[in-house]
Amino acid sequence: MKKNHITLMIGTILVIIFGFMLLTYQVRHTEIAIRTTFGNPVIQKTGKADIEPGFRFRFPWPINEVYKFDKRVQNSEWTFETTSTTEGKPILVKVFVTWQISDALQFFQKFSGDLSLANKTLESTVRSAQNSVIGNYTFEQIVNTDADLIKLSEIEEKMKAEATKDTSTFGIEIKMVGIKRLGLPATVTAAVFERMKAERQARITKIEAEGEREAKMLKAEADLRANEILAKAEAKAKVLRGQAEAASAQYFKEFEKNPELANFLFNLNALEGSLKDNATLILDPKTPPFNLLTQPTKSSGE
Amino acid sequence: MSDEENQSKGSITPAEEHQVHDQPAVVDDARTRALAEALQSSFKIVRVLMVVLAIAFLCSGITKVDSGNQALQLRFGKFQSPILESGLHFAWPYPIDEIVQIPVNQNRTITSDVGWRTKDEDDPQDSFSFAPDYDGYTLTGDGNTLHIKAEMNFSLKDSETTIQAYEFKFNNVTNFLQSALDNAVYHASANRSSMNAYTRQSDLQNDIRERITKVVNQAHDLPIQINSLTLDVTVPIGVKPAYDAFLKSQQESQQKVSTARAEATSIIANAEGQARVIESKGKTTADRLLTSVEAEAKSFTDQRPFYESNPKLFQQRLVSETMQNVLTNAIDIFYLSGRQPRIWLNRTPAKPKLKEGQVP
Repeated sequence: MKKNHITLMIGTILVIIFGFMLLTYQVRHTEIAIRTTFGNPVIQKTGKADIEPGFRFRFPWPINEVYKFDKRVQNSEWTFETTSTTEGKPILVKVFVTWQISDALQFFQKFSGDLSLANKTLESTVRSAQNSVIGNYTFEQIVNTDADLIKLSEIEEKMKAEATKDTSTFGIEIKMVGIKRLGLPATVTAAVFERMKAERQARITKIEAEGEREAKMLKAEADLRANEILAKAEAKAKVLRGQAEAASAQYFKEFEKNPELANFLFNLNALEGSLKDNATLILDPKTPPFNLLTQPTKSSGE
Repeated sequence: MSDEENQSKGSITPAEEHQVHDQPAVVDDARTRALAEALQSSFKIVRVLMVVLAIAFLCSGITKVDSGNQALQLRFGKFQSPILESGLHFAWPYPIDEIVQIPVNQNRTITSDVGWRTKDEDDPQDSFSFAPDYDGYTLTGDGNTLHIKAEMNFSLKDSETTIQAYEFKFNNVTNFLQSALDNAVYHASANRSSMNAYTRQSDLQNDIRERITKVVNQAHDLPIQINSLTLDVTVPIGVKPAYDAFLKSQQESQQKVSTARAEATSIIANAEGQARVIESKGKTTADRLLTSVEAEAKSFTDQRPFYESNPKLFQQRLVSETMQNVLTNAIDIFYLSGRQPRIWLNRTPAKPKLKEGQVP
């Protein structure tokens, strides 16, 4: 009896497992699914056929069939391709696209759930968008040192909008179309090298001349400024002297009381001042007090 | 057959004869019993095995989340919040639960060398021109070409949203980040001159960071933390000498200007110094003039009464006094006396030169 219990239990477990396998399924967090009944998609309460992640029941095949798709963001990129700008300049562009399934039923109907087929279809769509959008922009709008003129982000947005328009029935959402690489044809790059060298040479000449000019200007400005400073200082000194002379005028009234004495004193001061240091004098014997040297001779003769 | 055997056969009892007739049934019964015993043993083994399997099944649900890791738990494929921190956790075995461990503290590196390496994975080569399918380079805002390699080191911001997005949102998150970094490098390069990118790499770095943040964090809701971004930037090998010559020339020019600036500063400083001297001199002269005039006026006032009392004597006294001062200060005085001029030498007599060994 005990043996039968065990057998029964094992059997029951196996039946349960088998039953679960037949009647249930789970959708992973990274997936989106649709369920069909006799080939017709089952619409969920949300109004869409998309089945969100979790545990779900179903009827066994052939009544129900479940199709699961990767709903994660896909990153697609293709070859480096020549495109022409609006002025006809060739430019090589490689883009990448990030996209994900937004409507599982549409995706299933369009690509039978085949991601590689979707990728291939997307490639031609994006390529077409790339050519038509870049064809509306000049080379200077793709690369430019002026932030106001460069339109690279705008180009990417327009490529995305164009590609989104063309893939609106694919059940996918394009999240971004971005430039992955930009280049020039080989013949153009040879010319670019030459131009780069010539540019640098021209800049060397210019920068040397500018350096010379700036250095001279700096010196000239400094000289000018120095002269100004000195002139101002001299003017100030003159003013001070003038003020001193003006101030000294108050004492002139005193000298006016006896101009003869004043002149005499001024002359004496001048004489003493001018013969103050290292003077060499040539004197006449009549000059006082040297006249004393001759007077005794005269007096002895008398 | 031996004699003994024949003898024993002939002496068999009826009971024994009956037993001999029933022997096949006994053998069958023994076999059945043996089979049953064998089956019973097998069932025991199966039972033990079942118990072991059941225990193993339950124990397989014990998960260890390593230190520095966090784990996402999916139950029947659906994400269960919150995130599991490091330590021991119980989860039902697959297909009920699924544990995905993520090293959140790990620094991850993405390198963009689409603008650097050749198709053969070599560093930039010297060539007459760039072959589009072979050479890696970027275009700059002035229409020139440049080699840029960017290496981004990033980690995940410690949040459920980040970890969930990093693990579940992208089919190949590394490829996506690689594309985003390439995109940032080309954007940053396209809006500046080749010389600017070559010489001011920190600005280029900031632009790449900004673009990465815009594309990854904002447009794709993947909040990563950029820890560092290192760049290798160089101009095409063939034009490098021209660029280096320019940089040298620029440096020399800057040096010239800075020398001139230093000279200019020095000229102005000197002038300011001189100006202060002039002003000071002017002030001194002015002060001296004023003081002198004041002193003279005072002296005049003091002497006037003496002068007025006897002008001649007063004058003579002052003249003599002045002559004394003048003659004292004079070095040489030539005194012309009649036909033979006399020269009055310095009052300090010159020291006679001494011969060797002579005592003065």
